[in-house]
Amino acid sequence: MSSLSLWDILSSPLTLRAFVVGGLMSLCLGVLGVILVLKRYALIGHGLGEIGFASTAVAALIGLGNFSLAVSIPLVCLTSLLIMLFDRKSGMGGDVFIGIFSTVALAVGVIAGRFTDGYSVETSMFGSIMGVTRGYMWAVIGLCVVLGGVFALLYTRLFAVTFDETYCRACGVKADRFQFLLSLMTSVAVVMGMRVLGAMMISSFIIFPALTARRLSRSFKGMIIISAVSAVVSFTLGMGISALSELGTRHLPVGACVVVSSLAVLLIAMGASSFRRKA
Amino acid sequence: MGTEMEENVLISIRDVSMNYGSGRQDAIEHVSVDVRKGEILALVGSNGSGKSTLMKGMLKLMPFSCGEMERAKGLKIGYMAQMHTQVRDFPATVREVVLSGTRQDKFFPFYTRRQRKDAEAAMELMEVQDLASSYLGALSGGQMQRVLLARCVAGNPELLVLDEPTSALDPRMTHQLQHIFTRLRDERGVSVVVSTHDWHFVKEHADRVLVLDHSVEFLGKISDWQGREDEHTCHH
Repeated sequence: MSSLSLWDILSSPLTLRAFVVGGLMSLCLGVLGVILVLKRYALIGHGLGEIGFASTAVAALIGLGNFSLAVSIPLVCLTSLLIMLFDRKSGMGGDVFIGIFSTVALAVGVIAGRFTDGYSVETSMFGSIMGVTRGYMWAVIGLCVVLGGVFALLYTRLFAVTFDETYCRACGVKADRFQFLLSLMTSVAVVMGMRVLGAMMISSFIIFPALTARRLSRSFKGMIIISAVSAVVSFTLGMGISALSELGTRHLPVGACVVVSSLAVLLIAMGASSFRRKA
Repeated sequence: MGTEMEENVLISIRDVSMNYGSGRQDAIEHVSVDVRKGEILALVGSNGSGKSTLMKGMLKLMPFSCGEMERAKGLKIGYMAQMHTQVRDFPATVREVVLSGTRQDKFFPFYTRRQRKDAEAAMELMEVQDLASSYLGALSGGQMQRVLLARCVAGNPELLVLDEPTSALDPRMTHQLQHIFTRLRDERGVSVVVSTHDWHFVKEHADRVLVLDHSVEFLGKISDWQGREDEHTCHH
């Protein structure tokens, strides 16, 4: 048994920072997830998470482990744009390219990880609160402010493009720019979120809250609000379970705990939705 | 394009061919047509004759494999595609959808008063104002068609491009819609390019007809058409 009390764990600066960072990242991913799920592009989060994993492993291998964000963000953004470009040009569907890029990235990441002393593949994949520095926390707060501003300013256009991109393009709206912006925001959010939430788990932060919101809301705005709230609630529950596990002998990773709590929230929403329909 | 486009022409297409990918057979071949201001141009042809492809080319949704197109500068277009199964699942009300078709000149988080007015007028024109607060999932096929048309009209377009807009409508609504096209042309000077299998509509309302079978079979006034109508109607 650990000699730490629950209060010691919850009141430590590291845990508090992890709560702030994880909560804000869940909020961002929950909001982005609504658009990605409605555009049937939800798997992009999974692909980008694995590409992010590979880039951090390669950064560690070449001695840039302390600058992994600076390596990962441009690499993941570039790959995300390539996936979008190939999807548009080939007409084969984005999931094919997400599959190709993510499996290659996973393989590269695992190989690079084996050659790097002190690099934990498990931590990268399933998340840890250990990497949450004060600077990282401010970067996440900055991302949230930017994302919130973009959503507020472009809400009406984001709605139009999400609803019917073809119509927008036919009417002369530069829909590709919105797609580009969405790809960039998702890439940055995924890379910044995976440190706490884990590369393998990050897509669940995009998919589960949006699905929960779809069950509970029939409007776009309502979906965004419910998805954001459900993401933060799921994170708080999962993070709490992970923190509690510190008291025992087996530590549970944050990412895995949040996925399980997200599933629980989704199941409750499904139950509530079918109950409301029957009533 | 070398020559200047005529003043009353909105879109000028010259010797255009299109295909669905390199090496595949052309969907349309060497098509030339002008879309003029304030006219109803009906595209007629059997299924797979290239009507939708030509429309997508006009809208720059698909590239030409050869040929040229010129469009009037700043041309405001409204478009209704043939298939819209995906949008039915979307979480939105009729009002939100119609508002999304209004012109958005500035970056602003809310719709302006002008946009709301345009949306209300469009809903009234298409007789969907009573459905304004309804969610898309609750609409019938015909109601959905009218809502999507209201979205097109809400942007005050100079040109409407409509791919079989009456396919899900009952005869009464079809007749009403065709009357609306005529009103839009006569009262607002809106041009309408519409693909259809309805020869009655073509004869009654269209100013010109383009009969398409991968290439142009006929382009001109319906009174000059000598071909057989039944060859160019849809056979399900």
